[in-house]
Amino acid sequence: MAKKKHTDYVDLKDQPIPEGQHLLEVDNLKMFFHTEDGVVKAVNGVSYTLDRGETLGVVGESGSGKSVTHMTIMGLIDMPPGKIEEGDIRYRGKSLLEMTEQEMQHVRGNDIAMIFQDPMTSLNPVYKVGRQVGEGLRLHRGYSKQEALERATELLRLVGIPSPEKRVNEYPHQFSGGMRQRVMIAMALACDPDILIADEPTTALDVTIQAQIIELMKEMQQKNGNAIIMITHDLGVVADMADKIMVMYAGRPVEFGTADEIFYESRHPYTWGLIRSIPEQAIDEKKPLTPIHGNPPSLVNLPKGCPFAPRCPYAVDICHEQEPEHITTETGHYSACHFADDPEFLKFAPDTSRSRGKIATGMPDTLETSEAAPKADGAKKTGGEA
Amino acid sequence: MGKYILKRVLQFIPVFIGVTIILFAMKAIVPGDPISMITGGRSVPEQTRLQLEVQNNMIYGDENGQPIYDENGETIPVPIWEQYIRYMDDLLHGDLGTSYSKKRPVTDIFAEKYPYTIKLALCAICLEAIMGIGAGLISAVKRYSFWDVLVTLVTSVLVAVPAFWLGMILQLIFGIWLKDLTGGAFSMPISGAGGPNSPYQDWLHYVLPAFTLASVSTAYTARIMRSQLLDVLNQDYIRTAKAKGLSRRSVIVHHALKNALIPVVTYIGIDFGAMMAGAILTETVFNWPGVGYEIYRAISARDWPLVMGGVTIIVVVVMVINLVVDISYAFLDPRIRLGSSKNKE
Ligand SMILES: Nc1ncnc2c1ncn2[C@@H]1O[C@H](COP(=O)(O)OP(=O)(O)O)[C@@H](O)[C@H]1O
Ligand code: SF4
Ligand SMILES: [Mg+2]
Repeated sequence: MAKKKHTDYVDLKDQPIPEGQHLLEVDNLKMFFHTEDGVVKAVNGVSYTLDRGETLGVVGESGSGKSVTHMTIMGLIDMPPGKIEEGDIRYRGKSLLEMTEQEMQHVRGNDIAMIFQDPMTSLNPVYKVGRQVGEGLRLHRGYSKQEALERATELLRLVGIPSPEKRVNEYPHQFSGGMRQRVMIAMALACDPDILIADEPTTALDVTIQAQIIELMKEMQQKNGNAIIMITHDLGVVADMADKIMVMYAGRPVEFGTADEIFYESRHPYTWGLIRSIPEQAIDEKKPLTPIHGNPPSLVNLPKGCPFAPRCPYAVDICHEQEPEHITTETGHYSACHFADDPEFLKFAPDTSRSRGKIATGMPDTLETSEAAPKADGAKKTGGEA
Repeated sequence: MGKYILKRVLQFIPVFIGVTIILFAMKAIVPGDPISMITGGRSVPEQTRLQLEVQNNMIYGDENGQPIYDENGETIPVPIWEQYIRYMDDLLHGDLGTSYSKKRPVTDIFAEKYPYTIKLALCAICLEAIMGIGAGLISAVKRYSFWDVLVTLVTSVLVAVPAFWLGMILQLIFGIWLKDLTGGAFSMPISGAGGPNSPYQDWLHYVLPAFTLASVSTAYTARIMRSQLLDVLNQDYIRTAKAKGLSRRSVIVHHALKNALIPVVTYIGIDFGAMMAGAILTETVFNWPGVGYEIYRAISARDWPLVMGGVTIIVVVVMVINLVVDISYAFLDPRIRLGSSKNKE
């Protein structure tokens, strides 16, 4: 598998970022699934930029397209049924969409790595953990079996797994959930990727373990300088780690800004709903937790106008008629709401001024909103015996 | 692992006792005079008859094989439970009795027949493993392609066709219609005789019976392989493997195959065990000198020692094979080999 060293191949992550460009630029990305039931508009105009060492939080209810967007970036969506309709993804100035499958294989796990929600099922049950952690090194760096195993041991030590020289020879089922997610992180960081995409890495874990895993990711980021894309349905999780936040709804980014902008100057009613359903926030406002009522729309038959209109307490006629454009401030903070620049309207926003710095301290385990949403896990739908 | 094997071996004991009791009871219940079976229905002198009864543990006798009489001058019947104990005692000493019809020790007969069954089963299992796994693999990897549809069609037909019918049709086609073309290579001898002078020496003779024997299970193997592989390819750890940058081929070969093969190997192993019990239908259709055909003939001839001894041997062989299958299953799947999660945090 990894007999040949890729000496002729220059890793993209070692190439300079062209002047005026960002580490990662997602530009009006649209990726639809063409299914028998119709066109599922799973990724519908996502745009953001990410720089080295930065952390982007991607927040939204389950089914809002967070995973599919990032699986698209990784080139992990089967096409068909998926199809890129529009837009571009540029990594260090190079379009990932124009790359061949072979070139993408060099990028995956080497330049951009991804870890997934369920550490219980994300490791192969029949191979030893050491082999799985070292596999990327064998593939991308041409390490020998022995070298890969030694480095895997080292990596397990780095992510805080006790007696790693023993545990590399154990199988995934011999690890607890939190330890497996540490293994996943070690595996993802093995080749020093530029970007680590973490898709709800703590959702399946206990609250105390969640905090440890987040801590570990931040620590590793400080050591390696990699960027992190942290996907979660829980705004509280990204509160104290994200530099920027993108809020997604029905396959679209409805608000994007710095973490401070999203928490304290939000300009979108959907984001307000997410903030109101953070337990700590509700305590501060001395108001009960307010979940967002209703369910996200079907991505096959998107309603006309603003996709959030059926659930938005502030919706008026125009909202049902016309789809809102992104209204962008001079700092780049954008919101897809017709009234995002109306100061009177923005008075409806939750008052978060008193909770400044407090939201982040807690680690709410689940949000009301996610419970109300239908379970729609992309990966489960992709295959399946007919 | 050692403990596990020991436990499984100990589980043999009650199964073994149960099977022997059932066989023994059957012999006792089924009507018919064993002595006339032995003599082939001819009448024999009274003295010979009594000696035969002693030999067959029906009445008590002395060490010279002569019957013992009580004070009334009557022979003394051996109680049924003591007959069973004696039978088991003989069994454990490797004496499975003497065939009524062939007048030879049962062990000798089976020692001669088993190689044919084993060789046929090995041929059939190889066919099944290679064709079944291969077809299932192609079918899953190239899902919805022409090949996938073809495999689905062929397996559906094979599952529906009874083995004896397939066997006869194959014989008809290759053995009779195409006899000139094949030089009669596939034509089966009529005799059904085993042993060193058996006409079943040519490997070409294995082709049709092996194919017949493997047909249904090959179809099942292909289907299990296909559905397992598709299922595995949908697992989260496959997504992890892809996210590492492995090619599709590597993902299938290095991450999916081993997981998908675990249930397939188990199925093939159990099927091998079943084949070792002798494929009565296939062996009968092809006059194959194996244990299945032998048991079939023994039952028709009410040759009880041959039936009992044969079934006992078969039960032991099948149990041993199933044990080997279980061990290899555990070997393939570390979750079984090493027990469940220790949950260290
Ligand atoms: N292969 C697929 N075919 C059709 N629809 C899909 C497929 N994969 C995912 N989807 C749909 O895409 C939408 C977004 O899913 P996902 O990205 O998993 O949401 P999130 O990660 O935000 O919870 C869901 O409605 C899901 O049903
Ligand atoms: S555009 Fe209208 S419906 Fe949509 S979020 Fe703004 S107010 Fe609500
Ligand atoms: Mg998701």
